[in-house]
Amino acid sequence: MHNKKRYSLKFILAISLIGLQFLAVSTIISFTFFSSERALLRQSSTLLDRTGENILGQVESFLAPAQMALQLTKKFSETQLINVFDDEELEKHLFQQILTSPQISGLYFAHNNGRFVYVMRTEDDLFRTKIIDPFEKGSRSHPARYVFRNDRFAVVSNEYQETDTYEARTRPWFQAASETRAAIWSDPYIFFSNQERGITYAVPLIAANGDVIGVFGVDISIDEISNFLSDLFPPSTGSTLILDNNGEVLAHPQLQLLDQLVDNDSLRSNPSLISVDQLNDPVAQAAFGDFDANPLTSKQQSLTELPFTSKRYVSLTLPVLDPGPKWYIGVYASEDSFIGEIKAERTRWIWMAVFVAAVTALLGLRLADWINKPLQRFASGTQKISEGDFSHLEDLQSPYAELEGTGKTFMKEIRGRQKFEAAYGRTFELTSRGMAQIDSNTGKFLRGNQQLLDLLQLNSETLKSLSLFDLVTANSSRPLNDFRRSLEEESEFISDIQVTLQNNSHAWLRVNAILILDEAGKPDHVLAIFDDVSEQKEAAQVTAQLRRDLSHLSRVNTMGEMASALAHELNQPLSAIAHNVDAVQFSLKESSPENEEALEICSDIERQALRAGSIIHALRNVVRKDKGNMREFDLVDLCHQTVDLMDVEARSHKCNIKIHTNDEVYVFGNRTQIAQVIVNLLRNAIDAILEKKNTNEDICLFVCVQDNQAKVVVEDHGVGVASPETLFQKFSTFKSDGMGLGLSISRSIIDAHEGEIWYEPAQGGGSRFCFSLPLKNFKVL
Amino acid sequence: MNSTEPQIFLIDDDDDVRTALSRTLKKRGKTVIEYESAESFLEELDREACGCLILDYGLPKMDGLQLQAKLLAEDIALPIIFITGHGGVAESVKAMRAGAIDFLEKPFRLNNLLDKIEIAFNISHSLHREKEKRADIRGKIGSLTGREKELLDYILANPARVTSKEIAQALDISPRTVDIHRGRVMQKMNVKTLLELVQISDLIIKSS
Repeated sequence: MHNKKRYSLKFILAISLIGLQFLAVSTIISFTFFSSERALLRQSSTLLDRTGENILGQVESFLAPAQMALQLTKKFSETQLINVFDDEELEKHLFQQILTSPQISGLYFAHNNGRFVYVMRTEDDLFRTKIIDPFEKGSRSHPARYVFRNDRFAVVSNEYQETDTYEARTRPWFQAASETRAAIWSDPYIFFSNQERGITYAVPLIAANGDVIGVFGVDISIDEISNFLSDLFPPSTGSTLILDNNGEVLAHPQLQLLDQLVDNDSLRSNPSLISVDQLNDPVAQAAFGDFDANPLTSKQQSLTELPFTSKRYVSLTLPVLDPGPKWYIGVYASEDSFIGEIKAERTRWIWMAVFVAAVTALLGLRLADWINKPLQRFASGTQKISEGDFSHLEDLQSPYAELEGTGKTFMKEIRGRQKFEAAYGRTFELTSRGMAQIDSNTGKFLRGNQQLLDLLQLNSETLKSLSLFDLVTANSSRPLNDFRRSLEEESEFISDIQVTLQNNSHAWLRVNAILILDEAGKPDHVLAIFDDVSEQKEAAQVTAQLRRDLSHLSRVNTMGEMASALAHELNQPLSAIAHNVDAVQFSLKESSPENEEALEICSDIERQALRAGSIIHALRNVVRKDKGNMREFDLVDLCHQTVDLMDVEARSHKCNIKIHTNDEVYVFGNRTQIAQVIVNLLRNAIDAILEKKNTNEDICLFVCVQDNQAKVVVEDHGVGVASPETLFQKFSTFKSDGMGLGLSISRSIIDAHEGEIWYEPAQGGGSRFCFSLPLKNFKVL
Repeated sequence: MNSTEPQIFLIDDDDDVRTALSRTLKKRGKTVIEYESAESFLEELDREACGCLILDYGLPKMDGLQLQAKLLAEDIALPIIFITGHGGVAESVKAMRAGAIDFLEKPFRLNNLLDKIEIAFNISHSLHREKEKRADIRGKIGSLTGREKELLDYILANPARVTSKEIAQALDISPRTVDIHRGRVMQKMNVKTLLELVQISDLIIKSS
């Protein structure tokens, strides 16, 4: 019979088996998930890097042939293999070179005397040669010859132009190559002739004496690179682009995107490259939009994860170091395009793991069941035996070694207990008071008798789901704070608690609890007895309220009476002063009518006396109190409550107050004020008895109806009253420590209620103080 | 014309107030008689006294209101001026209802009191005159014979049916006898018309 609440073994087994394998599976899944995540990222980084390298090679292989063609031409010229001064020979050589590399759109030689030989591809797959003969620097125009040839060098047509304006010696590439005396790469720009993006490579031809004879140049169209890039990725999965130093886009798989600024008419005359942050490619903008002028100086890679749209992107930037121009390759690709397959595979594995987890969970449940079954049989066997059914003794044969012997001990124990329980249980059910067994740790109700259930308006099941602490109303739980400590230290707990009932009403219960110990001396349970003390509590509260009201009223009344009494006392001398002054004035007028000053002084004295009188009048009006709350009430009821209030005081002086009354007496008036009168009379009676030094005296309070009036009499057999006629006057007291206001206040109150208060000596010594009040149909003035 | 000098009866339990008030009133030539309680006043009371009563409201034992009630009951024609040290509205209303001249709160201006005393004296005089008149009429009625009294009572009871014939029929005597008796009644009562007779007699009936 252990009282502590336990979980079923089956439940624990199931939870631990399922929980353990769930923990294992989820650990593996999460580990796999996060480690594969890292691996996948590494993988995508590598793949991207390879793509970058691929493009790098492509760019190099794109630029290198043009570079080599020009270097070859220069070398031939320096070694006199070709004569650069011969137009025909030079043209032929340039023509051969342009044929070897399709990315070369033009090749030329600019002589420092103004001579210019230029071979270029035309749009209709022909080749055009332009030759300008030497001319003076600064001349406005000069003639130029054009020869159009097919790819077999056969002349297709000739043209001649008298006023050509081209001056090679002023071009940037000529000047840069002349000055540096070395090969130079121009910045990328848009060719004026065909609106394609391109770049110029120029090398100076230097004579043996060190003079610059002229400059060779090659125009390379780089839009071809864009075409190459478009083959790398499907446009939806990723893209590559080539940027220059300034963040301008040189190449992009979607070539038409690069033309969007050129389409603008105002820019057509002076076309420029589009910047990456203006490019209509949001991913590229996000990845490279903040491209700095010198982001990378050596071969470096950067891998960026872009939180872009719903897809994840990785990007890479790497510089082109060969052959010459400072370019940068940007690659971005959606993660899926590299590792989508791997991710899908991973998801499949996670689902597989979940399935395995579910299957093993079911197996775990079955296993728990299997382990628990014999235990359950054992438990139900003990349960039945404890209920007195001894036909299941074979169920106490435990399948587990650990429980060997428990069954036998239990059987022995149970028989002893049954006897005890039978007696204890009968007491429990037969007692007239609420009784309960309570768990000493949690405060839970283990069992409650019918009387307690009636008190709490609960049924047995609900009670067992509650603890003692659940019963008390939230703001009155304080008495229970000591519950456990008090039980442990003093073995008992006695306190009044306020409980909330089903219908939201409240009841006060007096709890009387003791701690029952088991054989080992450990707390076993708490036996508590409950008594309904609501009525006592309510009566106490009503009395307390009356006490508060009285205390307030007493202060107000005392002040009012004091003011009124003082007013009377002061008005008398003031009155005498005024009249005496008046007499003096009269005498003065008769004896010495010319003494104006004395007359004036007298008049002042009179005025001051009258003024003092008016101040007192005003003061009294301030403190004169109203009648307060007038209503109908039961005088007998009030007498009982007032006696309750005075009982402690009376008992402390060894007096008893006894009420003699027959029925209800209803009067109309201020309940608290009447209570004050009764208190005053009772207190006088107590004092009178004390004065006589005679204890164990009874004070009798009679309430009755006489001559159509309610009559209250307080009778004592104390010292009595020596001079009854001044009793009810202010400041008249026969007590050594009184102020003499009590009876005066009482008379004021009774007068205001149109009643009477009087004194008569009691038979056999002592006093009878009486007052009468009109019955309830009385109406106030 | 005054048969008696009007007197002021001053009742106040406070010696100082009583002395001061009495002194200043005496200086003005009034006759003042002092008492310290209602009881001592009643002991020495002259029922025919004329003048007024200055009465402290808050006397010990028998208080002002009780004394006022007693005087009214005994038909003593002394108008009352209340003075009080702690006058409340309720008390003043009671006093005024019972016929007090005024209800003065202490301390008060003497002129105020003097005005009231004048009023009170006048009232006292007229009360006395009425009282004397009533005594006179009572004396005259006392001098009537049995038959004459019977006739007078009939006339007062039936002032609308006073022809000799009607009276004779009612009293079962001859109309001539009626004429003789009526003549004597008019003579004894000192009136000239029947109307005067009815008015005079009414005074007595009212006051009794």
